[in-house]
Amino acid sequence: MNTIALYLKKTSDQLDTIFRFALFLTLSSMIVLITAQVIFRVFFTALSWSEELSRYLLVWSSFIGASVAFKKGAHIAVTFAVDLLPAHVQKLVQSLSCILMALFFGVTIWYSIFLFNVQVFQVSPAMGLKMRYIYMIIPIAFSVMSIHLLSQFSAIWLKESKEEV
Amino acid sequence: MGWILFISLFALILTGMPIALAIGFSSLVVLSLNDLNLVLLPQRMFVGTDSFPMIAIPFFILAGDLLAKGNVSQRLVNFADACVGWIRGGLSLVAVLGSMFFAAISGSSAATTAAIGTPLIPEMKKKGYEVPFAAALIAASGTIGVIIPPSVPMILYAIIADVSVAELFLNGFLPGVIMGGILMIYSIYVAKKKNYPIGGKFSVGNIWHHFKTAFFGLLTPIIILGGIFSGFFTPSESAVIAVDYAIFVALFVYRDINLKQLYSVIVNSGITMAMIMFLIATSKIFSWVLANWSIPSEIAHALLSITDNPLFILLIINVVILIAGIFMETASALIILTPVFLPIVGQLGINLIHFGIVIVMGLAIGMITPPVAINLYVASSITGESLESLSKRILPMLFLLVSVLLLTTYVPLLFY
Repeated sequence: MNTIALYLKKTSDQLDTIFRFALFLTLSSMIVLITAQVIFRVFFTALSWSEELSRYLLVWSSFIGASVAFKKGAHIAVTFAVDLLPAHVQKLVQSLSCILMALFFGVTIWYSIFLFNVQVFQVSPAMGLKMRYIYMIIPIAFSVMSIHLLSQFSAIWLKESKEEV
Repeated sequence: MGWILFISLFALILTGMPIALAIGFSSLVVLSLNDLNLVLLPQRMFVGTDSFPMIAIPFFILAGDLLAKGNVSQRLVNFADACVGWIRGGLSLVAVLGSMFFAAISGSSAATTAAIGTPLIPEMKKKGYEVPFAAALIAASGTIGVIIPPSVPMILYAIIADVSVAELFLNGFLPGVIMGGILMIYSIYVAKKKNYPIGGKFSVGNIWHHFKTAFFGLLTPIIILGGIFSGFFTPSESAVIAVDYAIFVALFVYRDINLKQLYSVIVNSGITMAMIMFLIATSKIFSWVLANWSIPSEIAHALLSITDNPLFILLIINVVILIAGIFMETASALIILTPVFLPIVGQLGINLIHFGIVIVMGLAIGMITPPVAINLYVASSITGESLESLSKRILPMLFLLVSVLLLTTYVPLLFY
């Protein structure tokens, strides 16, 4: 059990490092792109594709950032109700919420891959990018979040078994 | 379906599940009970984040974080001190005025509380102010952060209600100044009673000196808001220009941060914005469910059958907003409540800009009402004071801010 949990934690940490860098990249490219958009509009002719590209970068950075925030436990949650419960009930409630989240992640991944397979011909209006590749970030980010979730879930139960010893 | 949706939402929130996922999961429950195609999930989440106006959200957060990380907030505090420090209880006025200056740079209340509280609270302690009072005052002044533009919650509201961000920003000034004014009057009253000290002497030379050192900070709101109100930039573009400017000031003019810190500031702001964007993404599924079963208009109908007096309904809405603010954080409450209230407000013929200011202010007050009170947490982590001691001292300020909320609700202080 321990080795699986350790392996999960290592994978989840590594993915997080990569995603942090990806978050930095998407945000800084948006800064450069929109600055260029303003400069071109004021001094030259307006760019036709910059707005579309920066919108897609926002989608990507949102889902990448959501995974990083999930790893960090930064997503806003109401914890004062759970904190009132006795420790062992707390653990059960936390596990239940983990399982429900896993279900939500699973459904989202399943249907976003379905979307990827269906949307073969749709392209973006300004740049002609294939939309299916832009949608790809959703299954990728949710898969990474699932790995973070698994790692957290194993941590909840390993802590308990240690306490029992 | 409305009952299933809201009951499962609140039950999931109480299990400690992140609110964004609770919103998504409760919508999933309703969708699968009705056997609808769940491809809606990724589709709506994509549509929710695919928006150019929303680009303003990450970059107003980033610009504020960059300027708070450097010493810009210290310089703004020094300038405010030169302006009002010579009055009795001067530093408490500096707390309010400094927060108002920073509010014009930052779109977030927690950031404003941290930016002003970090340099100012130790100084107030040194000068003999009671720390719980100082911390409570800075937490209360921090709420102005989302009222004086730019403001992340106003951008959110503008997108949900489909109104102009610029117009909402413009109408935030006056209510923000009234909030600051009333907190300043209260501070002078407390200072007289507790005999808090007077700071330095009033001198124009001193004001000019600190104006010059704070100049690049003070220029930021002029670039941001000047660009938006003149129509030269869209709000999203102006947010990015503000980031360019903040990077330039922090790296080259004040040299407060280096490239390595720049990386971590960008990543951390990215996490903050992603918390909001993820909420928006899953709430787009939620709002589809709301609209598909016409839940908001049913609620509107039920409420209007109790009374059709707009003044009374506005009072009910205000109470709901304040209660939501006690238990929920601003962005999530705004995202859940706005689509529910819009049909009622529309039927009563209330101006949507006016309502936007009211709901944002009500939820901003929620940032100082425990248990969920981000500004109090920030102020308590700066000072090490307990939440209880801060809550006691914030009570009179809370009443004052609620009275400003009622004033804003019933006296439309709008420029249009």
